Amino acid sequence: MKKHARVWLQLTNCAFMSYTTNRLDTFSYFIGKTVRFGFFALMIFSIFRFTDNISGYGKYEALLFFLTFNLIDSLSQALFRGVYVFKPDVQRGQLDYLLPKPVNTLFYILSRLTDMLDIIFSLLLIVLTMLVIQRLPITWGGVEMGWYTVLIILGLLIIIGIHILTVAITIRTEESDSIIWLYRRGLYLGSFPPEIFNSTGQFLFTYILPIFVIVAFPVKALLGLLDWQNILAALGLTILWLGGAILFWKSSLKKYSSASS
Amino acid sequence: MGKYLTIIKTAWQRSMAYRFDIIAYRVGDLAEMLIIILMWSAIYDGNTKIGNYTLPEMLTYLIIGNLVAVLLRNFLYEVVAKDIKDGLLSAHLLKPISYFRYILVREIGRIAMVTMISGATQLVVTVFFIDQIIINNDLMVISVIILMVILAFVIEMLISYLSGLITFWQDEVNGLNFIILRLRKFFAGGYFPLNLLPPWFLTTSFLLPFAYSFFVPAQIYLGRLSIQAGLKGILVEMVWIVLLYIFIKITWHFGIKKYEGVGI
Repeated sequence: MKKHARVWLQLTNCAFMSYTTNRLDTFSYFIGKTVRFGFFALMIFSIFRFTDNISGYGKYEALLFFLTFNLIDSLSQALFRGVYVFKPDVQRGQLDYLLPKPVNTLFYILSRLTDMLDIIFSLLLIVLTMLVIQRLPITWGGVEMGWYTVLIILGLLIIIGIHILTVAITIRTEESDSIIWLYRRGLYLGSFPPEIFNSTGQFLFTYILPIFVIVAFPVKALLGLLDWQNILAALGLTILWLGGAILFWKSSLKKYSSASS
Repeated sequence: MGKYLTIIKTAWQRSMAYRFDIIAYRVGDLAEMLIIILMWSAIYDGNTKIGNYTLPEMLTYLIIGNLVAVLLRNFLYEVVAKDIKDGLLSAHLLKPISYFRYILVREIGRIAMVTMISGATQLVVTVFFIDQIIINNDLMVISVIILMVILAFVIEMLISYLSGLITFWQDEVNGLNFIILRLRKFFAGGYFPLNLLPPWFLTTSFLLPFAYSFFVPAQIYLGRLSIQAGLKGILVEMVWIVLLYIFIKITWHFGIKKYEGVGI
């Protein structure tokens, strides 16, 4: 654990140096992220000029879904950005050089590129989320906030599982970094309350593709709308996705052909 | 003409090598479109009109606008940036064909498959919501929209090419393009109809080229903008094409002097 923490710090330091080398590009990305976030926020505020609720949720509750989605998305990009640069390793056989390293290969693949911009952006999102929570009848430090944090962590564990699946599929197909983009766009479903879907949609995106478990469950727990059965379901799904993904990774690694090496 | 067809054919065949990626991205398109439709349907629950739009009008706006938007998508800036950054441009400079023409034609071949599947995906969505959207089969309207979309396609290609040329001065242009893409989507009305915003914003958008790649075609289709307004829009697009072409010529003129062929 200590060794991996040291490796992560070193990799993060390298990523930071890389970001400072391309300052204009880094700054542009940060502005781009802020602009995108701002436009979506503007969209929500514009919508609430014409209606007082979306599927029964008020403005600040809807904002909480939107901010939690952004926070989870940013955190996962900040910590697991390495998966986005993995495809060339498989296509060029460079995974050969990663496998013998004295560090867990999966850990290295996922975390070798820490996104500093998303770390900064996540901090901003945490502040904004706290400001929105202040507008809602939620007790600071109450049990709901505890469940909110726990369920965000479970959501991040499911996301790790999805990233591992992506890595494993890339090994098998050599062309599937699009899977991670598919997940990113799918997660967008969580930026609004799940009640905008009918019951079939809600079931599908809770138990088959657990997008609502990742984003909507923490928010619902914070609003006091999540029962203990659903919390248990979240735990079960986390174990299933993470465990299943690790097994799939192990089986996929046996298929690695070391092409072009 | 023959050489251009060969370039398109080669690029098309190359794009076929990554069929899985193409399909996976289209599933993403489908999910995004679906969520937007469901979101607006939920917002309309209990409201007959939002910002002067009924639900069928809003759904039609989103479906038609997105159909146009996916048909215009290109990734030319990435190709141009890579050519300059990796020194691949040097080989092109020696070829008996202008880089500008070659790269534009090649991009058409490269994105043809993606565009066709994207268009088909959007049509699938349209079929699912066919009873909830407005059908307009006025030939004049359709003709104006098609002309507008063709010109918007040229504009999008030129903007993308121009963005790529910035690599002559700055190694990494992805961040800059990230901003351009976000601003473009917003000014195009891709997040929501522009007339939900203050009127001055709409007036400004009509002077920029972006609105003609989503908002204006969808508005003409809905009959909220007249054919005359559409023709005026086509004129604005033509002016932009000329302006962008001049910008490109100037940028290339100065940029090529900075080019060092690093990476060859």
